[in-house]
This record gives sequence, structure tokens and C-alpha cells, in this order.
Amino acid sequence: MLKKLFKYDFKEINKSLLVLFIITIILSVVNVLTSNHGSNEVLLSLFIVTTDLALVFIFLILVFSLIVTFSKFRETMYKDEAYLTHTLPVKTTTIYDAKVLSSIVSILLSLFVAGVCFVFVFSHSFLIKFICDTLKDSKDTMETIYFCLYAIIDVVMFFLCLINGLIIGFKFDKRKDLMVFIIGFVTVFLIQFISLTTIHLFNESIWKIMELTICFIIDVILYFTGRYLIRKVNIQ
Amino acid sequence: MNLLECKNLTKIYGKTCAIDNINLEIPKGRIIGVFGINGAGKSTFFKLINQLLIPTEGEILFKGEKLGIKSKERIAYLPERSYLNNSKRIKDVLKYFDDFYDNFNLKKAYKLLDELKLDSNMQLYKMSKGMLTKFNLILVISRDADLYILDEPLDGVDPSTRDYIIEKILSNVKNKSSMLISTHMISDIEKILDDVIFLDRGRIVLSSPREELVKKEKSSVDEIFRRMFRC
Repeated sequence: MLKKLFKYDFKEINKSLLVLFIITIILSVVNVLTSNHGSNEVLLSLFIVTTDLALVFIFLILVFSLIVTFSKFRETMYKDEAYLTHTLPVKTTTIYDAKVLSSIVSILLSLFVAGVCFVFVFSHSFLIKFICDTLKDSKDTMETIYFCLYAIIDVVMFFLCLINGLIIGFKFDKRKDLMVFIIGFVTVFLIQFISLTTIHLFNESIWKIMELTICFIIDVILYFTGRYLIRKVNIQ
Repeated sequence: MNLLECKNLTKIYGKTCAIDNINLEIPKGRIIGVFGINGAGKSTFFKLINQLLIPTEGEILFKGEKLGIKSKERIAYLPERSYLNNSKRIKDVLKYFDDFYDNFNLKKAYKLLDELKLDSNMQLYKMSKGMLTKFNLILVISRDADLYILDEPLDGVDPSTRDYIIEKILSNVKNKSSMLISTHMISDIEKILDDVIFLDRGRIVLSSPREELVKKEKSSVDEIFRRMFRC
């Protein structure tokens, strides 16, 4: 059942994001093709326009992936579609697992598409050289890997904070949406504060690994907190 | 053994008592009309049976067991509102139901679609309220369930289709399973009912076999309802 639910949820989320993906990829490809514009003014204009637009769309992918995953979760778990979700012959925790996992995978896919398109758009200039130089230096390579991992764990943490806010918020009878907003953002800031204050307790050499580990543990705690809290839902 | 049993069932929202200490037994093979004015607690009662709400007090037993995945498999529920994703096509929804419910009869669903002249390629947002009601009903009666719960199944449906729906309810339910049905169009369905329940402010104010009630009061269920709940 988990597999089936995951498949449907993943499709549903990415159906909404697919248009953004396609437009951004097309803009990036056109940008690369027009990068050798020489003195052709039309190609130059096209190059400038596609660079700007691609950057806007890369930003939109990142923002919309969070908005779409969050709103799909809300709609299918607490709004009208919840009537179908919660009457399926499946445990509520399995539904939660499928929804959270499909959302996280979709967010990672969006990060990947946005990242690839970003590299495409700047492949003609300093970025390729920078990446090549970075990869030659093992210390810089580690920094890059660390940055990527941290970005992934942080985005997932942000999503899980919102989900927990949603779950707790909907346990209140009044002003649910306000509670979702308050709890979601308070959780984000609280967790950022905890991770920023505790990492200084560790030795500088293991500082980064500890920071990653703490953030990852917080992600796991948030995941299981949501899983525990969602067992009893009231669709009012 | 009773199909469904409610023991001291109570649901309180804040300061409002939506369901107030309901005790009820539903045997197999009965069609039961649950009637009441707006806000009487009919939908809350159905939501409690479908585990969409947690009772404040009391419990519900389905075939002698506490509600769980087994009961979700055996209870087919048509909520008062549309619960489907409007961007989907009819055939996508049918595939979804077929994937998740072992007792969903896809062939029967397509046959009913044909009879009600609904195109399986149609997107839900393009359908009228009546068409959506018909489609939602097809989804429910295409399941081989033990208990069917229909909350306002005739809402927005034209009179000729209403007759068709009532006929389908009868052919589907009799002897095999039971049905709880709530509607404001009492006169349309009262002839197919075995039992009648009137709810008021979360309490059962009347529960009786229909024939007995009609004989005793010498009037139809619709007339009794109008008399009882006259403003």
C-alpha cells in the first residue's frame, strides 16, 4: 500500500511542477545554445532574456516545490480530499509515510532540476572553471559536498517543520490556519536556534559533521513527531 | 451479530455537543433512513462511523470489533461534499478506487457509467453538481461492502435519475448488506426504508421500523418529520 500511495502522491505533486521543470529546462538549453552569440544582436538579446528568465524560473522551482508539497499535504490530509484519504483501508501512519516521503523526494527532484539548470545557464562562463578548480582541490570538494548536503537537510527540515505545524494546528478547534502558520514558523526558528547554539559546543574540526548530524537528527525527530501526532485526526 | 453498534457515543466540538450519548444497533440487511434538520448531527454521526472524527466518549463496534482498517474496507461512504481531486478524469478515479479497494468492481462501475451516460474521459471540474453526485454514487455502489453510508445522495439530482438511484440502492443492498441514508428528500426514498431514525441536537428522538411508524401515525414519514420539526 505504501508503494501505491507513494506512486499516486509523487505523480500528483510533480504533475503540478512539471510545467515549471519543462520551461526552465527549455530556457536553460536555449541559453546554452545562444551563449556563442558572437556579434549577432538577436542571439545576444535571446541570451540575455533566457539568462534572466531561467534564473527567475529556477527560483520559482525552489519556492513552488515547497508550496505545492505543503498544499497537497494539507488538501489531502485535512481538507475535502481528506474524506477519501482517511477512508482508504490503510493505516494513517502509512498514509503519512507515503505523503512525507513523496514530498521529500519531490523537493529533492526540484533541487536537482534547479541545480542542473543553474549549471547549464552558467556553463558558458566562470562556473565551469570554478567547478573544475573546486574538484581538483579535495578540501573545496568536501566544502561543496557539505554545502549540498546541508542545503538538502535544511530544506527537508523546513518542510517537516511546516508539516508539524499543520498537524498541531489542525488539532485546535479555532483559528487552525493561524496556528499552522505560527507553530510552523516558531518550530523553524526554534530548531535553527538550537542547532546554531549547540554546534559551538563541539571541536572546530568536527564542527561541520556535527552540524550535519544534529540537523539530520532533528529531521528524524520531526518526522516521527508528525507520525505520532497524526494517528488521530479530526476532519471537521 | 449486529453489523454496527454504537455505545454511549458522544462527540463534543468545543462547547457544542454534536452527538449526545447515542446507543444504536444496526443489523444486517436493513435500509435505514437517518433524518433531522440541519445541524442535527447526521453528518457528524456518519463521520464518526468512518473514523474521520474521534468520539469524545463511547465507542463504535463494527461486526463486534473496534473500528480499524477492516471496517474501512467493508464500509462504503458517500460524504455530503465532493471529496475527489477535480483535476482528475473519471477513469483515473476509477483506477484509483480499483487499486485501493479489493472489493471495488471496475466492470460494474463502467456499466453504471454507461447507464448514467457519463463519459469516462470527462474531467471532474467540467461536470455539473448532479453529474458529480451520480459519479460519487457509482463509486460507492460499485463496492461490495457490508455497510453503505450515503450522506445526501440525491442532492442536485434530477427526478428521473433519483428513481434510478433508488432502484440501484435497492438492488445493491437488500439482504447482502445494510445502508444508512440521510437526505432531506424524505418522500422520494421513504418507501424503500426498513427503519427510520430521527436525530435532533445530537440525540435520537425517534427510532422505529418504518411500517410500524406509518401504521401508528397514519401518515407518511415525510409528514411525521414535518410535524415533528415544524419551526
